[in-house]
Amino acid sequence: MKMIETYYRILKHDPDGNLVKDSGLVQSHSYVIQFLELVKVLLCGVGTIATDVDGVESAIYSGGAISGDGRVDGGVGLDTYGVVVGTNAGTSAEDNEDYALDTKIAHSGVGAAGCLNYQAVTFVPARVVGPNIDLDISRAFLNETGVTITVKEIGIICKTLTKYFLLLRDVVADEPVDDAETLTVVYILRTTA
Amino acid sequence: MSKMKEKKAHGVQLLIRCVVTDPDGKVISDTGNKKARSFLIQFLEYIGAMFDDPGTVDATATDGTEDMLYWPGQAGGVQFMADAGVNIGTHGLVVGTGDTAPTNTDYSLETKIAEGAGAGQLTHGVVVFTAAAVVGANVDMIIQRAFTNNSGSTITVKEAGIYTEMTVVGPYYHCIVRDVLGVPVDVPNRCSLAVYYTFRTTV
Repeated sequence: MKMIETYYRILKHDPDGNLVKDSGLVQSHSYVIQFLELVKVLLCGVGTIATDVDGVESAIYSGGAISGDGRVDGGVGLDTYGVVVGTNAGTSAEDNEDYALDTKIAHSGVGAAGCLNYQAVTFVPARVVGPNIDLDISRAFLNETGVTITVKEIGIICKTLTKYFLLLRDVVADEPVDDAETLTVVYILRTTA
Repeated sequence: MSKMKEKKAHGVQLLIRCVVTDPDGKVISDTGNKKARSFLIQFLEYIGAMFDDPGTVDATATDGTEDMLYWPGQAGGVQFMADAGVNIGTHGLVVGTGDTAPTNTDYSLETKIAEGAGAGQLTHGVVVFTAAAVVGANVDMIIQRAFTNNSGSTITVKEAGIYTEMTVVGPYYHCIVRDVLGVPVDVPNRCSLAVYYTFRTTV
């Protein structure tokens, strides 16, 4: 079937920058309803409400400059949007109507307990890669807490003005991130004619 | 270091359905939902631009020139719009007579059918959007359009797609989806063709 295939890839580096884990491309299961709500409003400009990460019905489309809508480019230290990770403490399976990670890991730049140091989201724009068109979205997370943190869920949250909306959520195999290790999550959106 | 094998992905599926009805509304043919093949590079270029906001982004327009696709300082309502009205054949859901196999970098239909009632033309209805909703195990969002043949002769539709419009400059049109139908669809004179694209996600 030809569609927007979506994969994630999880990389882990030790403090010296050596690659110690590469999941390879793994199927992403979990666009959630907010993604198609956003696509629909982009194409027709009508119907702007979706469930935000707080569970509140909010405007996913501002009607103003498009640069205020659907942003995923979270910068250093911003855990509110972009690629995000969590511990899935409630062991929740993915659901079409998820609007938040189960238990998102917060950012800390000083090694606060249970937190990761969020780096900036980076992009590789859509381009031809062999027989495919790929769009890559990546983010690195550094563990400075002194203890191991285990990542069990990942996702993408977009920002529209001051509201945040979950677009993708994947429950992943337990991924322990030891102190001083860096976890990198890469999402790949791919189309193939 | 461990490495897993690549697996087939879930993602955003696209389905296409073509229904032909006679002047009394009686169904003459119905393809049912068929797997569509062909999100094009322009779709991911726009989504990527919105996610990243790198400044203005050009992409190959339907005339083959590089024209503005994304303009961050302008409202969403003047770019990437597929909400064409009645008798507007420039954008929205469009159909054509070409049957060349799609490629990732297609930027237009091969031979788009023009708006009108002349030879080889179809009258374009309004593009209708159905909000994204949970349908069984899926989330579906549907875009549909009706085309009426008043040309005096049967028209055979072989391709379909979605064009978006940038109005603040240009206007420029970009093709984000193109499909060659598995079986060509005949639209007899005075009959109508309704085309449905279903965007579907499934966890």
